[in-house]
Amino acid sequence: MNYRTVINIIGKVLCVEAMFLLPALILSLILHEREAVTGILVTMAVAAALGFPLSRVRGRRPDIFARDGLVTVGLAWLAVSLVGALPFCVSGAIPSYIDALFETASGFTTTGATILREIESLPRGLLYWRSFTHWLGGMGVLVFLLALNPLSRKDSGENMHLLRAESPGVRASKLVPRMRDSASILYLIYIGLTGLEFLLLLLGRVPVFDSLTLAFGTAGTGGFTIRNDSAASYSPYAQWVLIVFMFLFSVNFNVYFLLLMRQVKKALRSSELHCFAGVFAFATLLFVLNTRSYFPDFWDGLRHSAFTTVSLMSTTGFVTTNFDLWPQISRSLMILLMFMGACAGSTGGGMKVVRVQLLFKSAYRSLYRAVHPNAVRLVHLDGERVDEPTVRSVDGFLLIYFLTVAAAGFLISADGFSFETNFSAALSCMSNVGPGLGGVGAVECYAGFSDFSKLVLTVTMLIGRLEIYPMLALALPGVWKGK
Amino acid sequence: MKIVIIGGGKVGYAIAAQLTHEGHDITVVDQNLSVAERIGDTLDCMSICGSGATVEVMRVAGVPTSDLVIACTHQDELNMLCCVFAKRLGCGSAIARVRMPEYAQQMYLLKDGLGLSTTMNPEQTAAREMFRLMEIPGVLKRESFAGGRVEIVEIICRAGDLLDGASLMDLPKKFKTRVFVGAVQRGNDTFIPDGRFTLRAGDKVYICAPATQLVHILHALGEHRKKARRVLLIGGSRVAEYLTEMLLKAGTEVKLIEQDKEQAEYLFDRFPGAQVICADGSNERVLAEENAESMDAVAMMTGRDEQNLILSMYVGGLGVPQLLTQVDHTEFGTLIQDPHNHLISPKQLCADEMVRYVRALQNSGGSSVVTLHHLAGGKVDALEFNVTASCRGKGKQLRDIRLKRNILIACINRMGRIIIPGGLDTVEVGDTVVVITDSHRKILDLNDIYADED
Repeated sequence: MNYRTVINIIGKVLCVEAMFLLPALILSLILHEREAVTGILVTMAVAAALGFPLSRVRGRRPDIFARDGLVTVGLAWLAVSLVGALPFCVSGAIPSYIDALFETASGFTTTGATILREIESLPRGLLYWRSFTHWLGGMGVLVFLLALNPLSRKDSGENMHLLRAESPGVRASKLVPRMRDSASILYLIYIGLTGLEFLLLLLGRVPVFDSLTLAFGTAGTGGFTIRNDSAASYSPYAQWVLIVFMFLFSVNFNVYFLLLMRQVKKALRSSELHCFAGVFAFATLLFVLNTRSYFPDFWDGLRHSAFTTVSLMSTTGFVTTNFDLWPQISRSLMILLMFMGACAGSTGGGMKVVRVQLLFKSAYRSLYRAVHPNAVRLVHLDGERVDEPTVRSVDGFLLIYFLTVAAAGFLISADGFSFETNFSAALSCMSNVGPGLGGVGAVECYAGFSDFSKLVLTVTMLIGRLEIYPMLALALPGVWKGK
Repeated sequence: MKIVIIGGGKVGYAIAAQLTHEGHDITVVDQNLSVAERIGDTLDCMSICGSGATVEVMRVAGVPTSDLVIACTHQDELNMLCCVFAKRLGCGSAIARVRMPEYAQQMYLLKDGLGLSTTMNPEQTAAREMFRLMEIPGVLKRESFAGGRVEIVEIICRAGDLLDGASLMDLPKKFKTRVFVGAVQRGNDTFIPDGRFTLRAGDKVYICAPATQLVHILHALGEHRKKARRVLLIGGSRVAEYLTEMLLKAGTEVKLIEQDKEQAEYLFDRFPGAQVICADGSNERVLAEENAESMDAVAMMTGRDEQNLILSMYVGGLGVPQLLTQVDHTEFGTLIQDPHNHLISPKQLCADEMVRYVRALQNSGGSSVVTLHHLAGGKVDALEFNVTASCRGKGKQLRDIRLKRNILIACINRMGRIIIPGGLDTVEVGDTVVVITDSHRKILDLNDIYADED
C-alpha cells in the first residue's frame, strides 16, 4: 500500500470540503444565523486543520494501484462524511452526532434519506450545505479533484483507478485521452445541466433558494428538499421540470458528451438509454392505470405517476404524493425500480440499467445452454462483445448487492419495525433512493431507528454509492498489511 | 498535440509513456484486449482495442483529426499500411516502424509513395548508439549535436584526476582549452552547476565539447583509449546485423556468435568480412575458445535481458574494457555497477527519438528544436535550437542576459565553428545553440529560456 499517497489525497479532499463550506458560511453570515456560523466555522477549521497537514505528506512513489485506488476512495468518503456532519452537530440543529452523520452520508451518497421530521426550521446555511452535499457527492469528490488536477503528476495514468473506484458503472472509461480533461468535461456538463435546471425553476416562480437546493438535489439524484412535504407543494410546472431533469441526470453522461461532439446518432444508439426509457414508460403507464381512482384528473395522475417513476428510477427520492398508499402491484414495482436504478455513468444509484441488461442476457444464455449444451453463445451489448470476466463480475456484483441488503435489513430488524419497513429501508439506502415503504415510506422518515441501525444504514449508503468494492476493500484485512 | 499510436507493444508503450509525460493527448490502439486495458490503467491516455489498420477503428481513435500517427505493430507491412490509411483519413503526419534491414535500405523509395513523414527503426538506432560508443571508448555516454560537431559525453570523476576537487571556473586552465560542464550527477542528486561548483570524486560529469577537442580532453583525463578494433557480438539479432554492417564499414574486426545455424549462415552470406561462429554464446567454454577476454569490446544481444545482463557481468569479469548490453527493461539496469557496461534499450532510444520529433513538430514556426537528448538518467535535457529572428536574446552579450534558473547555454555553433561561450559571446540569427535544462521544465522555444524582463 502506498500509504503516503493515500493520505495526501485524503488531505486534499478535506481541503476541498473546507473550501466548499465557504458559500454556506457566507449565506449564514448574511442571514445572521449565529449557531450555523459557529458550526460551519468550526467544521472549516477542523477540515483545514486535518486536511492541510495531510496534503503536505508527499508520496515517495507516485504510483497508485487498483488496491490503493479503492482504499483511497473508501477512506475519502468516510472522511468527508465524518467531517461534513460537524456543522449540524456543533450548531445544535441535529444534536446527536450519529444523526448528523446519517444525514450527511445520506447527502454525499445522494440517498436523501433523512432523520429530520421538521426540516423548515433549520438555518438556511445548513440547509444549503445539506443540499450541496448531494451535488458534490453526485459526480464525486475525487473526480472533482481530478478535474482540478492537483493530484496527478504528469505521467500518472494510475489516477484512472480513482476515477474507476468512484464512478458508477461496469467499467468507467475516459471521454478523452487526458484524465484531467475527462473529469473537467464531466463537471462542465454537470454544472451546465444544474444551471439550466436552476434557471427553468426560477422561470416557474420558484423562490431562488428553493430553486438552488432543488437543482442540487436533482443533479446529484439525491432527494433532500427544504420543505417538510418534499416536492409536493411546488407548482405542476416545477414538478414537470423536476421530472425532466431527474430523467436527464440519470442518463449516462457519455451521451451528453457525444451530443456535444455532434455525434447525435451514436449518442442515441445506446441500448442502455433505450432500456431506461422503456422501463420508465412502462412503469409510468402502469402507475397511471393503477391509480386511476386516486387522481380524478388524468394529467394529475400522469404527473404523479411519471414523477414517482423517475424519482425512484433515478434514485432521487423526491415525493409529490404519498405513493405508499398506492395499490400493492404499484408498490412491488417500486421496489423493482429502486433495485434497478439509473444508467451507468450517471449520478444515479442502484444496480444500474446496464448491469440488469447483462444479467438478463447472461440468464438467458444459461437457459439456452441447458437446452443446447454445445452451443456457442457470447454476450453482446450495443453490437459489441462483452468479455467473460465482465459478465461474471456483474453476477458477483448482484450477489454482493443482495447479501448487503439482506445483512443490513437483518441488522436493523432489532428495532422491531415490520419486515417491509426494514428491507425496503435497506434496499432504499443501498440504492441511494431515500424513501422506502411502510415505516420509511414517502411521508415518513428514518428518525425512529436506533443509533446502531442508523450506523448500519450509513455504511449501507456508502457501500451503495461507491458500488460496494471501495467500502468492502477497507474491511479486507490483507489490504492494510500491504498484501 | 493529438497523437495516435497503433500497436501497444514494447516500443508503442515506451513511446506512449514518454509522450503522455510530455503532456500530449495520446490514444493507443492495440488488438489485444488485455494489452489495451493495461495501457489504459497505467498511462494517462486513451486505449482502444481493435485492429489499427481498419478505417472504422481509426475513426474511433480519432485519426482523421490527429496531428500524428505512429504505427509500431510487430509487422512492418502492417505499419506501412496503417500509415497509408491514416494519411488518407487526413492525419497530420505518419511515422511507421520499419525494422527489416531489407526494407530499411529501400525506405527512401517508399517514403514519398506511402506519405510517411519518417520511419523509425529501433534496432538500427540501437546499433548506431553502440557504434558511436565504440568509437570513443572511455566515455559512459555520448550525445551529438550540431551534426556531430559538438558532443556531450558523460565521464566519471576519479579520485586524483584533473577534475577531482576542481571548481568549474578553473577547468579551462587545467585543460588548456574551454571545457563546459553541463550537468553533474552526485549520488541521487543532479545539479546544473555554475562556475563556483566544485567537483568531487565519484561524480558523473557531463562535458560539452567540440568533437575535435574531445580526444584532447579525454587524453588529459587519462581516459582516452584507441577506438575498438576487435569486437565480439554475442547473438545475431537484427541489432547485430545493423551493427556489423557499420563496424565492417569502419574497418573493425567483427566476430559474431550465433546459435541458430540457419541465421548464422544467413549472416555469413551477408557479411563475408565478418567471422561468424555457430555456437552457444552463453557458454563460457565457447567464450574462452573465441578469446572473449582479448576483445576491445563485447556486445550482448541475445534477445533475452537476463542472459544479456548475466553475460555482460561475466565478460566484464574477464577484463573486457567496453561492454554493450541490449536490454528492454531498463529498470534492471541498476543491477549493473560497472560504468563501462553500457545498457542500450532500443525501445527507449526510439521513444526519445519520437519525443524529439514531436517537439520539433510542435514549434516548427518559432526557433525549433533540432536535437534533444536526455542526460543524467532523464533528469536533465540538452536541446539544440535554431536561432531565428524572433529570438529575444540575439546579438546581446551573454553576460547582459538573464536566463531562468537552472538553464545554461552550453555551446554555440556558428556556421560550423563551435564556440564554448563565455560572457562576451553573443547568439546570432542562423546559429544553433545547445541549451541545458532540468527536464521537468518543458522548453519548446528558445525564447522560453530567458528570464522575464521585469
